[in-house]
Amino acid sequence: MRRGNAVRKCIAKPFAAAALMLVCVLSGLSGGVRTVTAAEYPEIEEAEASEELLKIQEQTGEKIMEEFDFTEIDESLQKLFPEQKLTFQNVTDAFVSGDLESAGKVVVKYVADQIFYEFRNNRRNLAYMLLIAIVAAVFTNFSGALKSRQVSQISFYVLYMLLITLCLNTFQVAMTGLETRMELLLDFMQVLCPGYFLSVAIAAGSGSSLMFYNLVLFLIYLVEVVILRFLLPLVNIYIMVQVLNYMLGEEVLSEFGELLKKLVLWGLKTLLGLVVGINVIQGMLVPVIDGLKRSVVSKTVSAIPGIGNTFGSMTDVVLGTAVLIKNGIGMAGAVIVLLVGVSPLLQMALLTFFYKLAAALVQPVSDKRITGCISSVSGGYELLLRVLCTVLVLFLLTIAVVAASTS
Amino acid sequence: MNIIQIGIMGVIGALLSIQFKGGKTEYGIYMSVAVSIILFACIVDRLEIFVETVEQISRYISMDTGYIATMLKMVGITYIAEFSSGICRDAGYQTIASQIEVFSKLTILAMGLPVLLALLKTVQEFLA
Repeated sequence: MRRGNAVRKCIAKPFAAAALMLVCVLSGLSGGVRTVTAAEYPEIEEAEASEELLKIQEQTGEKIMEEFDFTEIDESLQKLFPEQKLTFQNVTDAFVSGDLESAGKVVVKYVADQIFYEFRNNRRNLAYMLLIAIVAAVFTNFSGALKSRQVSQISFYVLYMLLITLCLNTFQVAMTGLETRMELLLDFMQVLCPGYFLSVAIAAGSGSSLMFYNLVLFLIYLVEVVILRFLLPLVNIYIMVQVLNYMLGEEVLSEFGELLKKLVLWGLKTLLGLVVGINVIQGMLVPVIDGLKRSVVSKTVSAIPGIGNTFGSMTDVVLGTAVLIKNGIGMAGAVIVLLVGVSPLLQMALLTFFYKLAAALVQPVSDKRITGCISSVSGGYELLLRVLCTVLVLFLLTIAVVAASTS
Repeated sequence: MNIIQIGIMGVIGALLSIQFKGGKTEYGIYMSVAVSIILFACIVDRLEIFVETVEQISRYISMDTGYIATMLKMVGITYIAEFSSGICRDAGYQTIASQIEVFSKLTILAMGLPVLLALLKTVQEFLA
């Protein structure tokens, strides 16, 4: 329902925007006519003209910004960053005005907090894994003193069970966290789109705006269906298979695990290739058509003797401002997508590292089955990391292509 | 007790039991049982160190330490079974000895079953 509304809004808004542009240009014209009377003082006229242009730019910027409704985006931002008072308007303003220092500080602090948080959270798990491996090693050696091998085997299974319960529980928590993050990301993209593509429509034309809007909706759908519903459960099964494989001690399920891993990786690559291909092809065609239409209009108008020249320069200013705002919104969107992605990204990277580290630390003392189990869980986190990276790249790439091809 | 004392005690016990081999064989067996029980008491001393160490390690893990207690019990069961079945075997009763061993194995298996169930539950929860 919301998506349908958004589409209608996006189609309806270009008309309002066109009317607005006309108003801007006309108000600019009255200023432009006045400058003709000051023609005998060329220097004063020049300064005045540039001042006028600046004023027009400012007014146009304000008026275009008024057209956007960021409340939905702000709601989504509240969900994404509950502890920060972040409004989309502020982020966009920062990009449009080029004041990035304070934003940079906030981002750096956020990232550092995330790293410390993950580190604190996972330190205990790491210690537990080491201790379990050590207890297992002690028990195996001790029960070797007895004649019966049964005890050493059963105590190994008991400890292995403790170990995989720990591993699987943390994995599940991480997986659920990642899923909710991705859903929030998709939500954010859905509410970002109407505003962003409205600005694209103002700056470049409705044709490319509609086309890219469809593309992004398709991308959101694709991520939801292929990644959330198919690839992430596949990673779950992969972890399970690997863990059981190492428990048995023989290579019984290793080929199956490999197959699952290949499936996930190829799925990601195919998805990336597909989206990049569509993006590039669409990005080459449609903005050119829009640009052609627009340049015909502006050339015709600037050919009108007398006011044509002034009109041309006004159009340039208005269009330039529109492009600036469009790129401001796009950049703000991209940065927020990155910020949303950065915490699970760091989490996955750190977990991959931690589990690999644990495997490296227990290898000298413990059974190779335990080492293999910990190492394979690390591989699972790595797969999650890759999935997340691909999703982020898909969204960022699309925003970048839209920004680059419609300027 | 150090290993030299233990060794001397074992050897003296064995030599004394040999004395009874000619006439009253049963006294030899009683002798060996008595020596074994003394040695067992010494081993329990040593076992305590091990159990304490494992408990200390498991105290760092705030997870379900019931499993570690189960494992220690298993070690104890196996040890007692091996000890008693050894005595039976010395006395020449192989059947009784093997029955004791079978019993201990089945007990350990039964103690291990909750672990198996917990494992299955983990897998089920994970894939649910």
